[in-house]
Amino acid sequence: MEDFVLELKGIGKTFSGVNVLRDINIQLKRGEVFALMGENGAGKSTLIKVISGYHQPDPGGEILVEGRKTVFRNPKESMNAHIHTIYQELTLCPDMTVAENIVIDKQDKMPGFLLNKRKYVEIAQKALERLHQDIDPNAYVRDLSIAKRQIVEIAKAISADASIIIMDEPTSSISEKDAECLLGIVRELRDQGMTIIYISHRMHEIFRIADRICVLRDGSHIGTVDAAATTPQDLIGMMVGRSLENAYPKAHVEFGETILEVQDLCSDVFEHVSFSVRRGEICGIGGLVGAKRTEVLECIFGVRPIKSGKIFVYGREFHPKHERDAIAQEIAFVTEDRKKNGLVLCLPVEDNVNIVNADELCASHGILHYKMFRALAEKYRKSLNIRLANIKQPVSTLSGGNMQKVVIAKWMETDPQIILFDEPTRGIDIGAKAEIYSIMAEFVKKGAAIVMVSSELPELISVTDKIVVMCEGQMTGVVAHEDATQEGIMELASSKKAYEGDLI
Amino acid sequence: MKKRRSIGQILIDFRTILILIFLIAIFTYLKPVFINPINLLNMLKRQSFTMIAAFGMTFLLTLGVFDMSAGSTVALVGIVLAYGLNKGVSAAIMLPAVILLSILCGFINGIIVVKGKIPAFLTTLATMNIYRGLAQTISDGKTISIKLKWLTNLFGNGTVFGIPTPVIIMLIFLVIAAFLFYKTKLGFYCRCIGGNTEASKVAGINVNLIQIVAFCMMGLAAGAAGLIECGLMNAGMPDLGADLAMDAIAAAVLGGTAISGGLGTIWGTIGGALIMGILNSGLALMGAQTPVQLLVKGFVIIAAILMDNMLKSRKTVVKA
Repeated sequence: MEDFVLELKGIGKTFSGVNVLRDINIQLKRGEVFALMGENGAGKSTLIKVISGYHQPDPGGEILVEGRKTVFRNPKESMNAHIHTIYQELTLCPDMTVAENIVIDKQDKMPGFLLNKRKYVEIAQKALERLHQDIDPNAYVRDLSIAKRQIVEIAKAISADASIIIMDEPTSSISEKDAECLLGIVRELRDQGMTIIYISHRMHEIFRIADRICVLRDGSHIGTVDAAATTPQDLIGMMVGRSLENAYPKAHVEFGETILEVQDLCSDVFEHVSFSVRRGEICGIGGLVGAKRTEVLECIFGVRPIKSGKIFVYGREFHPKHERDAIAQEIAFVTEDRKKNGLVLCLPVEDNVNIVNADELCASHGILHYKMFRALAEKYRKSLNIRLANIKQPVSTLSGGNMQKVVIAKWMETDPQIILFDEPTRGIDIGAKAEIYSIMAEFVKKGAAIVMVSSELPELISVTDKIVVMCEGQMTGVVAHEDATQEGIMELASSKKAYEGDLI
Repeated sequence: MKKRRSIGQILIDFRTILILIFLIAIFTYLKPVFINPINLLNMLKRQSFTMIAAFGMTFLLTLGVFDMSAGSTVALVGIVLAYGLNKGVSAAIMLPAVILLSILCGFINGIIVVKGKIPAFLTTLATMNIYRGLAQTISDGKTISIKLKWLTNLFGNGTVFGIPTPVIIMLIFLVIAAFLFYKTKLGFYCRCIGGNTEASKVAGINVNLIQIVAFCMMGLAAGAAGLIECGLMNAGMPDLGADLAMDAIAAAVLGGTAISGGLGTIWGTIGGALIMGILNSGLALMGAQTPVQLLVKGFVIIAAILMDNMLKSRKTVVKA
C-alpha cells in the first residue's frame, strides 16, 4: 500500500442546500507538490477550508491522516495534525515582530504566563535558517514586503512541524523575482519530505513546480494528472469544460489620432516616463511589483500630484488636480484593488454601476432616478454577462470576475475615451479573463485608447499593441507587440538604465 | 542582522519624551515655579486617576475595543462606598466590596461585548448610562461625604515621604500594567488579537477570555481611579468622572497607541497623560481658565494624531 499523508474520501459540502463540493476523492503522497486548479467558484477554497478544519464535510465524507480516520472540528485540530494553511490574505499581525508572529500558534507548547522573548527569537531564527532566509526575527512585520511576509508564514508553518502546507495563491501579489524565490523554497520543502498543496492561477508556475495537478470544476473532482504528462491546453479544457480557442482575444483595429500623450512625467516616486496612445490602441505598462506603474496611472487620473512633465489629452495640455478633472476629460480608471477603491462592497450591484454617472442621471432635479439605475444595471448585466441572482444583491457576494465587470460597467456609462486598467485580471479565473479582454477589445473598436498595467507577462504581451516597461520608478524601455518576448520584458523590468531611445 | 536605527527614526520613536521635555522647558522658562517639585507632584496627583484609567484603556485599545463607561464606574464606586460607610458598614467590608463592584462593572461590559456580540462602543455607551443612573439613584443625585479621615488620606490627600498617595497608587498600577503588557502572555495576546483577530482564533488563542479579562482590568482601573477621586473630594459624587473615559483614550492615543488595535504602548500612555497634565498645570499657572485648557487639549489631540499620520505616511514612502 502506498504511503499517503492525507486522503479525502467522498468529501461533500453543502451550504444551505447548495452543493459546493461533491464526492471529492484525493490522495496526497509524502513529499509532493500537489497543485489544485479550477476557476473561481470551482470549490477550491471550500475544499481547503474542509482540510484545514474551518468547515466540516457533509456526513459520509472521510478524512484520513497517515491512514487514520480523523475529524477536524476546528482549525486548531487540523493544525495539531500538522496541516498548515497559508491563506491568500496573510494572517500576520503587522505591529508585532517576525518572531512573535511565528510563535503565536505555539502557545500551548510554551507553558507559563511570562513571555520568553529569547526563546521566541530562537525558534524564529531556526525556522528562517531552514529556509535560508535572511530576515531579522526582531523586525516588525509591517516593515516587510508581501513576499517577505509570505516567507514568515512559511516559517511559521515549518516551525509548527507541519507535514502538509497548503498555499492559497501565494504568488498572486508578488513580483516574478520573488515568486521565483518562493518556488525555490517550495521545491526545497518538498525535497525535505513535506507535502505541499499549491493553488495558483498561473499556469507556467504550476508546470514548473507541481508533481501532480488536480482539477476541480463546479465542486466536482474532474481529474488528477501527472504534470509531466499534460499540457496547459488540456488543463484549461478540464477547468472550463470546453476548449478555449484563444485565451487572449485581441482586437485588430486601425489606429486613429493620438489622444493621450505623456511627456517626461515625474512624480514623487517615478521619473521621466513618456509614451503616447492612439485611438484604437492598447498600451501596456510592464514591470515588477514596485516599479511604480500604478502611480503613473494615478498621475494621469489626477490622484497623485505631478512634479514635472506634461500630459496631453486630445492634443491639449491637461493638468489634473482632481479625479473629477480626469472624469470630465472622459478618462476612466479601473483600479487594481476592486475591493478597496473599485466598489462599495456593501451596496447593491445597481448602485455600484451608477456610482460615477449618478450626478448626470439626476442632473435636472437632484433626485435619484432609481428606475434608470435599474435599467442601466440590467443593460450591463446582459451586455457584460455579469453573473448574479439579482441586481439588488450586494457586490460583495459576487466572484472576482463579476466584480471586475461591475467596475467596468460603472465606467462604461460615462463613455470613456481613455481607459486606464490596473491589473484588470488579477485573481480572476480564465473564463472571465477572456471576457474582460473581449470587453477591452470592444472599447478600442469604438475608438477609445487603453493603458493597461499588468504583471502577467503572457497577458501583457498578447493583449497590448506596445509595452512600456518600468523598473523602480524609471522607464527602461518600450517594446512593440511584434517584438515582445517574456525574456525581453523581464530584462527591461530589472534593468537599471533609463530608456533613451525613440518612442513608438 | 540588526539594523541600526537612523537618527530620524530615533526622533520618531522618542517623540513623546521630546515633546514632554519641550513643554517642561517652555513652561519653566515662562513660569519658573512650574519646575518646583511641589507643583510637579501636584500635577501628578491631579493626573493620577486619569493615568490609571489610561493604563486599562491601553489594553482595551490594543485589543481593538474601548470603554466609554469608565467614568460612570468611578461615580458608582464612589457613591456605593460613601453610602455604605454612612449606613455604618465597616470600611473593611466596603473597600473590598467596591473593588469587586468595579471589576463586576468591567466584567458586565466584557460579557455583553463577547457573548452579545455588540460592539464595545455601543455596549459601553449603554452601560455608561446605566452605571451613572445607578449612582444617581442610590445617592438621589446628591453628594455623600465620607467622614473617615484615614480613608480619604489613604486614597487622596495623604502623603508618604512627601509623595501624595494617589501618585504612589498610580506608580504601583504603572509597574503592574507595564509588566503585564510587556512581559506576559496577556499583553502578547492583546496585541495578537488587536492585530488580527481571525489569525489569533486560528492560533488557538481564547479571544473571548482575553477580552473579558481586559474589560475586568479596565473596571478595576476605573475603580481605583474612583477611590482616588473620592479621596480627593472627601465624598462620593454622582457626577464624578465625566471626562475620565475620554481623557484616558486621549492619553493613550497621544502616546502612540492605535485606536484601530494591534499597536499599544504603556510607556507612551504615561507620556501622553503627562503631556495633558503638564499642559493643564502650565496653562493654569499662566492664568488660563478651564475653557482655554479644554481648547488647548482638543487642539493638542488633533495635532498629535496629525503628526502621527504624517510620520506614518513618510515612513511608507521611504519603504516603498
